[in-house]
Amino acid sequence: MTDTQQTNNQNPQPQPMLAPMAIGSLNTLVIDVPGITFLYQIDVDATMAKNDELILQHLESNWEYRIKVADLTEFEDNWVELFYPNAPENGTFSLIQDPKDDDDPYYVFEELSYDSLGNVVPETQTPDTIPDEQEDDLP
Amino acid sequence: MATQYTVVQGDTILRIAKAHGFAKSDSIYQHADNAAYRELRPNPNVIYPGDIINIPDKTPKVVRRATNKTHRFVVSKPEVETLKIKLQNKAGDALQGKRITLSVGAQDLDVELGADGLLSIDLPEGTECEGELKVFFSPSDTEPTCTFMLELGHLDPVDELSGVQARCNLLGHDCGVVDGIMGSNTRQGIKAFQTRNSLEVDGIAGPLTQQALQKAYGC
Repeated sequence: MTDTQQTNNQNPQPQPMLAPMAIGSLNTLVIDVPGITFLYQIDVDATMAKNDELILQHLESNWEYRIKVADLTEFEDNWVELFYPNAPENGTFSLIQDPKDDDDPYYVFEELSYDSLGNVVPETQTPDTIPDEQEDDLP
Repeated sequence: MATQYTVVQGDTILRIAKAHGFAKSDSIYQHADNAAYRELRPNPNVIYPGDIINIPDKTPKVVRRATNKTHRFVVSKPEVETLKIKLQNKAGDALQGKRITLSVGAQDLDVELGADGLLSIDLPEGTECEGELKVFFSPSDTEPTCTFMLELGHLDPVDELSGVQARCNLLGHDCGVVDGIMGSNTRQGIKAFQTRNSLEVDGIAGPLTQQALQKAYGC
């Protein structure tokens, strides 16, 4: 349920890009915003998880970004992409899953440096095998 | 006698109409002689080089009025082309607050995007088909974070591979050069779009993928 791995950080493209556009109709331009992307395993269709939020917090500043599970789309069975735009590119981070119900929020990971985010739990786990530090409830 | 016109890259219906003495695009696009063309290109803003458009005869409007009286004639405002761009990030959030500069013809805009991320600019008659859009992520930046060379009126229909490539590229799924040729870059870009939109991931832009592309892109 809580497997994550960081994909490469997304940098803006320095080279001018050709953009063929229509006149008179809407043209949507998606800009690669710098940020952090995680692959995350969760059953987005599970009723229990629908209201959950996945919150990435930067511990050295007030920056945090919330993603609602209900807004996520699976790209593979139970795998989703979590994109946190404009995340700082230094310092330490915590990722929290907040069930938004009677259950307490819990850390997916806690106080990891930016450089070590790429090493977060690369293999699939079952709840029984989740290390203790990842199950810690928030104070 | 009606003539035929072959569309070239960068044409718009309004520009074709004005070049043939009409003030409005509907004078050509909605003409009975172009019923089949409307079936082929249901969006008059997205036409394709090589398309054949019938140009109707221009007939003077005859209005009978009494002499020795004053008559008022209302001339409708000339039709103006508009460029509309929505800027968003991969998460689908508008780039609210980001500084944008846009140069098209003699016009230069320097604005901060609003909550909807929309940029809209009227294009006076004779505006060039090229422009430049710069996005600055930080207000203190002197160099743009990214730059786009706009080719106005160059977006091909979504049922052409070049139209698929262009839309995928602009939606952040890199298909490489927009050349209408299916290669590994194009296939990867289409797959990335299909993945993002929960479509069957086969790298082929079939009707469902085309429909999703139109919806995601805006036309």
